Amino acid sequence: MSQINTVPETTKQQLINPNLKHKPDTMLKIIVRKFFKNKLAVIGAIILCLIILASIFAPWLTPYTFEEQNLLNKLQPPSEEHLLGTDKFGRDLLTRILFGARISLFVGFASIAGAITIGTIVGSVAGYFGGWIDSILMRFIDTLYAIPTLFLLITLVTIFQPGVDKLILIFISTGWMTTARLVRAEFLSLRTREFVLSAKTVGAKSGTIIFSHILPNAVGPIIVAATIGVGGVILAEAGLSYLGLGIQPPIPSWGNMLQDAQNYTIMLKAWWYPTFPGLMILITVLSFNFVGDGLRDAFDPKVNE
Amino acid sequence: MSALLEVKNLKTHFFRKKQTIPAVDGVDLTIKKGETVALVGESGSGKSITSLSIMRLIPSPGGEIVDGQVLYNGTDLIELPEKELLKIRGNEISMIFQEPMTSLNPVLTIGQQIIEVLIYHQKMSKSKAKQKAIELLEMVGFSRAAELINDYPHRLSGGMRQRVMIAMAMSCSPKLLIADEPTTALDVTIQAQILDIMKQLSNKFGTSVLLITHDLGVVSEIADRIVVMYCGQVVEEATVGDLFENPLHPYSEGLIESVPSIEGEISRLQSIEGNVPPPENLPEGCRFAPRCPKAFDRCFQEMPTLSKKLSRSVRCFLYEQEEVGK
Repeated sequence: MSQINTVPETTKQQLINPNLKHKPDTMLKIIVRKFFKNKLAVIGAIILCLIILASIFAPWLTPYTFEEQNLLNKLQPPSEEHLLGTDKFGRDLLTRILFGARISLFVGFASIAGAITIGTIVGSVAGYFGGWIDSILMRFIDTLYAIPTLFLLITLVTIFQPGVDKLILIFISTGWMTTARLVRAEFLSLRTREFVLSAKTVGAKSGTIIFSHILPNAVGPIIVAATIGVGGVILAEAGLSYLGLGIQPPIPSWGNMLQDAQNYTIMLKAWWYPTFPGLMILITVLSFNFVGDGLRDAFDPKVNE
Repeated sequence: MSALLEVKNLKTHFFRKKQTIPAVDGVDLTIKKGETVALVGESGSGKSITSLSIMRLIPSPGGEIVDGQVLYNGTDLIELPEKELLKIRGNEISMIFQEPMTSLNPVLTIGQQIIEVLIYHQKMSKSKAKQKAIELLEMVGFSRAAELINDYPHRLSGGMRQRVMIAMAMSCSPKLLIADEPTTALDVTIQAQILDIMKQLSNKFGTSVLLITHDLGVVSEIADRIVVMYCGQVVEEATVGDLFENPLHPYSEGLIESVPSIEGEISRLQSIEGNVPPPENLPEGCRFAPRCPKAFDRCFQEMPTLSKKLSRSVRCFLYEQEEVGK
C-alpha cells in the first residue's frame, strides 16, 4: 500500500527523450557558465586574480622593500633594476605599488565584508518584519544618508588618528545603508512569495525563513553590490589618502603614492611617478565594475544564456 | 467521532485606510477525526482566509483575527503563544497550496526542503531524515526518489511539484491537512492522480482533510461533508449526498446547477446572475439576496441566521419555519 500506482517518472521521461541523462545543472553551474560568456567580466576577473596574487606574493616578487630609501637613486625612470622607476626617496615604485595593493585591496574587501554583513542583517529584518520595525530602521537610514559622507569622513579621520583599522570602520559605518536598502527591497518582494508561506505552514521559525529560505534567493544582487562596492571603497580610500587623511606614509597605498607624486611639483619630469599608481587604481576599479556587471547578468534569470 | 477542529464564530477582518473589510465574518466549522470536509464557494468568499486563519498565517500588517475561536483538540490556536504554534504547524496541521509552481523554494533542493521539516519536528538525524524523505517521495509515486532529492524544483512539472508538496505536508503524519485548491492549477489527468494520492494518504494516516475548492467535481470525489461559503459566511452545511441531491440554499442550488453534466439533454449551462459583491460594500440583509432568484422583502432587510437542523444547517429565511432535513 505504500506505493501508489502512477507512471514511473523514468519511463515518462524516456518516452519524451530516451537519451535524457539525469544530471541536473545546479544553479551555480548555470551562473558560472553565463559569467564565462561575458568577455569583459572574464578579463576583469583575470586581472583581479593577478593583482591579488601579486600583492600576496609581493615580498618574493621584488628584491626591494617598500621603505628602503636610496637618495642617490631618486626619481629614476623605469629601467632594468627598477621596472617602474623610483620615487623621490629612491624607493622602488613597483615594490610600493605591490605593497600598496595589499593595503588598498584589504581595506576594500574588509570594509565591504563588514558593510554587507550589517546591511544584510538590517535590511532583512526591516524587509521581513515590515511595519514599525521597518519604519524605524528606514528612517534611521534616511537620517544617516542626509549626512554628507565626505565631510563625515574628514571629521572622523581628524578626530581619530588615521590608520587602516579606522579607515575600515569608517567605510563600514558609511557604507552599510546602501546594502540595507537593497536587501530590504529584495525581502519585500520575496516575503510574499508562496514558498515563504509554505515554509511558514511547516512551522519554520522567523530566523530560519529569513536566513535559509529568503536570503539565498537574494544572494545574487548582494554579491553584485559587494563587487562593485569594493571598487568604490578603493576609490574612496585613494581619495582620502590623496587628501592625506587615509593611509599614512611610509606605508604605501595607491592614494598616498599619488599624493607623494603631486607634492613633487616636477610631475612632468618624472611622469612614471603619478602614472603607475593612478593606472593601478583605474584598472582595478574598472575590473571590479566589469566583474560586477558580469555577475549581475549571470545571476539574472531573465538574461538568457 | 469527536471533533478534531472546531472553528467558532471566526472573524478575520482586513483594515485598509479607514475601511474595514470583513473577509471572514463569523464562520463556524467542525472537522471530525478522519473526516474530509470541503469548503466551497466562489472566488472572494473567504475560503482561503478561513484556512489561513486556522493556521494563524493572516498577512500582517493588514489582516487580523478579531473574534472567534479555533479549537484544535480543545486548545484555542488563536490564544496560543507563537512558540507553541510553531510546533503544531507542519507537525499536526499542515497545508498545501494552489500554486505548486511557486510553493517550493527555487534555490533549495527538494531533499533539503523535506529534510528540514523532519529534522525540525521529528528531531531526526540528517541521515535518517534523508532516508525518510526518500520513503515519502516513493509514497507519493516517485520511482526515482533517491535521485530526486538532489533536484531543484525547476526540474519538475506542476503535478510532480504538487506531489512533493504533499510528501512534505504528510512528512510528520499530521492530524489535519488543509488543502487550498490543490488541483486548480493542474490539468485534469493530473488532478485525478493528486486527489487519489491525497485520499490514500489520508486514509493511511487517519488524517482529516479540509479541502478548499470551487470545483464541485473534486468535492463529490473526495469529501464527506460540504460547507458552502458566501461573502465570508457559511450559508449551508450538509453531507455530500444531501447537498447534491437536495441543495437547500439558493446559492448552493446555483453552484450545483452551474456544473456541466454529462447526462441529460443538452441545454445552456446555468449560471448565477451577477457577481460576488465587494467585501467592503456588502448589501444589507442577506448577502446573497441581490442575486437570489427566490428573494423576498425580508431578505433585503434582515440577515438570516445559520439554523441547525438534524445533520445539516442553512442560512436562509425560506427554511426558517419548516423542519429541515426530512
